[in-house]
Amino acid sequence: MSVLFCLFSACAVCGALGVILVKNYFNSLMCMLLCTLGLACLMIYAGAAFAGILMIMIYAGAIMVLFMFVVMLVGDDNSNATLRCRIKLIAMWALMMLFALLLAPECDELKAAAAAAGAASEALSAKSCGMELFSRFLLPFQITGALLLAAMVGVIVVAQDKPRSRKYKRDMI
Amino acid sequence: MYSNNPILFAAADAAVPLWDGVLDVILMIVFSLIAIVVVMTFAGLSVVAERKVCAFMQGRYGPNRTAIPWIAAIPGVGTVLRSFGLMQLVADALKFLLKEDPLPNHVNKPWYLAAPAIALTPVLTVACLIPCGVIYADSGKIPMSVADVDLSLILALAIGSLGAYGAVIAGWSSNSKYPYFGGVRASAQMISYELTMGICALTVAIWVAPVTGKPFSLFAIADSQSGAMWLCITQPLTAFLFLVALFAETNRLPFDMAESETDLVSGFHTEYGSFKFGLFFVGEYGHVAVASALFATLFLGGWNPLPGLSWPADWGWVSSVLCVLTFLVKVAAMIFFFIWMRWSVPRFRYDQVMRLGWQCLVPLALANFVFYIILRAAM
Repeated sequence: MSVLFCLFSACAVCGALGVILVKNYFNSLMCMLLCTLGLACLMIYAGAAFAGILMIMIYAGAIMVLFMFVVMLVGDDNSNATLRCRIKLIAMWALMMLFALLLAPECDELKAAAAAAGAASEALSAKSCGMELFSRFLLPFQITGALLLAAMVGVIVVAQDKPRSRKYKRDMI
Repeated sequence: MYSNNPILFAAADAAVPLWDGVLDVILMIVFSLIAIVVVMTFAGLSVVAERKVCAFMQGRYGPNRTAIPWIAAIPGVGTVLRSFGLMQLVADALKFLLKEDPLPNHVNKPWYLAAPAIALTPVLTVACLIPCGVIYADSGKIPMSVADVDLSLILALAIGSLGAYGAVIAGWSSNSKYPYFGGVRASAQMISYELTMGICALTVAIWVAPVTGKPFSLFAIADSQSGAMWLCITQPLTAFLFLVALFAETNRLPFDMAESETDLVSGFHTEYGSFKFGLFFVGEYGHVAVASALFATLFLGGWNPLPGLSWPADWGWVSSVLCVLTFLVKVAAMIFFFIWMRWSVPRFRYDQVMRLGWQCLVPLALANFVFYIILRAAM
């Protein structure tokens, strides 16, 4: 294991822990950003440069900024959530134990898989990503797109206030 | 892509002696520092240029009296330095350094202190990716960029997209009204215009892919324009849309939403003073310089003097020097264009910015993208 691998992994793990341990929404969001960047760097380091860069571009550069937008609009006061925090902590430890149990027997296989991924660095180039997406995974890809669109329309409908009367609209203008 | 990169794999691969890796790392750090110095110089000079061009357009002289006593006394040189306002630059920098550094009580201190650095870092990082020339060696063309990676175009866009955080964190951590509005506006605007920028970059990548085989490499894109038509001639609409998106991404007028001083005092950096404000200020002009360099690389032929012409390869190092000079001239011309637009076009209203971004630029960029795919397939 090299220094860089440890550094990026530490970023990802610390960020992920921070997301659930930190109380303030804004700091939690920043931890999520750290985690995303750490993961992206790990991907680039493992040879999947294209996927890593896309991760920075889409998650760190766009989706996290949107989250931040929401935090700024909603406010980051999370002081009366001690109970939920305790439940979250218990849930977190339980999940981590489960995950460790799940991974423990697979550890050697994971190492082998990581080595193989590093060796076959061409496997995740832009071209092969595109070929896979538009041939083998075409249907799931399109269905996911349609689902996301439906979710987005749904959010707009749910978040909309009840339709304003014509009189109110005139007042607005 | 990185399998041959000695820096990343020096520690992992026992066949490479460790010392080679260390030397490479030191060299890389030196190269990066040079890139940073160049960007900073450009940023400083564009501050002077902003004042002088603005003065010229308004029929004034601009700064022409600031003088450092002994240097101004040198005949010839001193007069030129003074009348071109170059010593004003020194005065500005000293002012930012020596002023009292206020730390308001109501701010979120760690993020408030970190925000200027977060705003400046992506700009300097992107600068390391841009190829500013070419060296003709026996083994072929060697790009003159600090980090020549195959995916440099999307890497530049990805790191550039992190630039929104500086403004947003500054706006949020200042904990007062106007910075908050500036931060919210900055985040919404940057996300909206990144989309147009990304689609335009893809259009370019699709167009050069059959020629170069490396669609996302900035060096390959610039190199595909040497001795050929520039991309701003073959793709005028793409170039225009990309330019508009660049104006929005750099927060320059007419997209000056994040710090529109007529309605938001000075937007996200209202609470900042002295050197921390100076970092935002330098970051903004550095952003302009890097955006100019990106535009010159993608659409203005990079280091080539004229469309269809390139500096001959058999001139050796002379050719390389001319390449770099050509590139710097193009960057300077683009910076001038940025400044020119600032003093010519009035600011948009915020809803106009959003409508322009989503209802006009994005559909236009998509249609343009599809058009060039069809054209490429037909050729």
